[in-house]
Amino acid sequence: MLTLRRTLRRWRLRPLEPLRYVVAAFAALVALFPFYWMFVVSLQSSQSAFSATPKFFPDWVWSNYARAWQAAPWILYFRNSLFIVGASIILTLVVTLLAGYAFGTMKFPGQQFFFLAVLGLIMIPAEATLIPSYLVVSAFHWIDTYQVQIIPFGVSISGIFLLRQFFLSLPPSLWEAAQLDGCSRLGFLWRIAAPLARPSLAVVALQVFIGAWNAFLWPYLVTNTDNFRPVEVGLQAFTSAEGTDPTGLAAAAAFTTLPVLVVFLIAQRQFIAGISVGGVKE
Amino acid sequence: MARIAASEVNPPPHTTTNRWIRRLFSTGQAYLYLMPMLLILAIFNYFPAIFVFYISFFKWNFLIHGPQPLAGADGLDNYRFLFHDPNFWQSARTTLEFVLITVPLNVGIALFLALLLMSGIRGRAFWRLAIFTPYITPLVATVTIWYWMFDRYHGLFNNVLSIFHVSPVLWLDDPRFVLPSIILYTVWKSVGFNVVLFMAGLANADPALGEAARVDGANVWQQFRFITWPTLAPITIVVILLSTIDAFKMFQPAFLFAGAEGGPNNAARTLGLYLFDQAFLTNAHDGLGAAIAVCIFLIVFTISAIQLGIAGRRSGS
Repeated sequence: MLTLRRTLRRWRLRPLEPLRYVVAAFAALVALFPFYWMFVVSLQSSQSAFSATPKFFPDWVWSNYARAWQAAPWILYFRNSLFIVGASIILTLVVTLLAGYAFGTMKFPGQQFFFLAVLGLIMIPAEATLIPSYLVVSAFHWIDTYQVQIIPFGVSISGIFLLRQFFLSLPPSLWEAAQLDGCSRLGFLWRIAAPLARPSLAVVALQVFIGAWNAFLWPYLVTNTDNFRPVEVGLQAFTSAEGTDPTGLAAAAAFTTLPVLVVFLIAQRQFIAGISVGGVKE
Repeated sequence: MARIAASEVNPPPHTTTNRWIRRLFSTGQAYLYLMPMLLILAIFNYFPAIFVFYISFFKWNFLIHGPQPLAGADGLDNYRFLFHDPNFWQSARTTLEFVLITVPLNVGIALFLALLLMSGIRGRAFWRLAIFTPYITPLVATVTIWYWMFDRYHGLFNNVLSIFHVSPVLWLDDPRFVLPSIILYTVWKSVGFNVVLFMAGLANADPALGEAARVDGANVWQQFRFITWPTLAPITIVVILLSTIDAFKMFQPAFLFAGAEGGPNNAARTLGLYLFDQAFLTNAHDGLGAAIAVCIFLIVFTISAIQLGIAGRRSGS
């Protein structure tokens, strides 16, 4: 896919080739600048923040972070988020692994039907089922709990798809050999298939991490007290309460974004690969 | 292996029964593996998707009391009301406006950047990482910083404009600008996802094909028409449809930037926001909210069906 460069050459626009770097750098700058700005404002004195001429470098006022950290029960929010994210990852991995294993290695009546029923869920937007979902969880008395933020998200559609593809690619001789050794289906999954599927499982875990950490609308709707609020909902409450303290807000935004950025930077390859596979196959 | 084959050619009667039981058992086992998934999906996905239609036929406020029949005998009062409700049509128009501006911008910029990054540029992984970062960072935190950049008095945008002696723009407080401001944020946030999709689609292209065409003397237009476009078309359709679906159900950015009313003159009230407003705020009317939800549902469902149809035809041919 070298069309752009070729077109430039064909039209004797070779001098424009370095321009590609200028454009790419500009796009990267636009994408990353708000994060830099978050960092700058979070370390500004309130004088700089409210001045009429923009100041593009931080004043290194670290006390903004201390002030923001003390203004809301962040430890509670972080603990809630960590628990919800951890439990979501475990639940989703188990549910998705079992389903992907069944779809990828077994033959059973209605297989096609069930698989289409899972894929068809892409066509049901969460926004449209907000009201009945809320009714369901309030009928369970799940408002203001952890499980309301975990169990409804226990299925990853793209994860099932990913794992099914992986298990389909396993040579059947592997299962036959394991069978001769007296291995049960569950034992085969636990001892052989799941360890082999580790890269796919990592992609699913990452997607669950990002999704659960960033979730806003549903946790906002189903939590009433700080006891069960995750970081994002806490940040929203903090934003409406501290609207006049931009440097504190920027500091809070920064320390709530940091965990996601760190995880993403460590595992960005797997993450982008997961999207590429899922997106093209859809 | 030979032994197994022999028994299959001429199975004694009792083994047949055994095999039948074994098959039944292994079939049942498959359902056991699917059970956790099916339970979750049935309770939190399939049931709500059906139930939302049911709710839309009632006058319902689930915080105070249960379903009550509507005045009309056919249960379609909520839909009739929406049909004559100027707020509904305003939010439908706002949503359509949002879709018609966001999708071409998003897809156009993403395609351009993907072609750029696939043109043999150095440091491709770095550029892609930078452009993709906004997509994975949390909504509330990024809205917080953009909100401050949009600030009418102290925001970065107006400060920069003032350097060029441009009078300040009331980004989020002017009915003409609040939706464009949200569009700006949305494109910034989501374009990286589409860039990654396009790059994955382009990576499947065979470079030798273009080489051959060039050797055969194809001109730029022919190269684009017969080599580039056939690779681009399928992935472009996927990206357009995915962005369209996302844009139609857009709700959270508008809620965070403009509040549940959708800002000044409700200028940023999308269908999703109107649904939320009806269903969860004061004087909730969940039947009406459900009717709006059904409308969103039908729109998204139709677009997805088109997408699946196209994908199916492609893989079928």
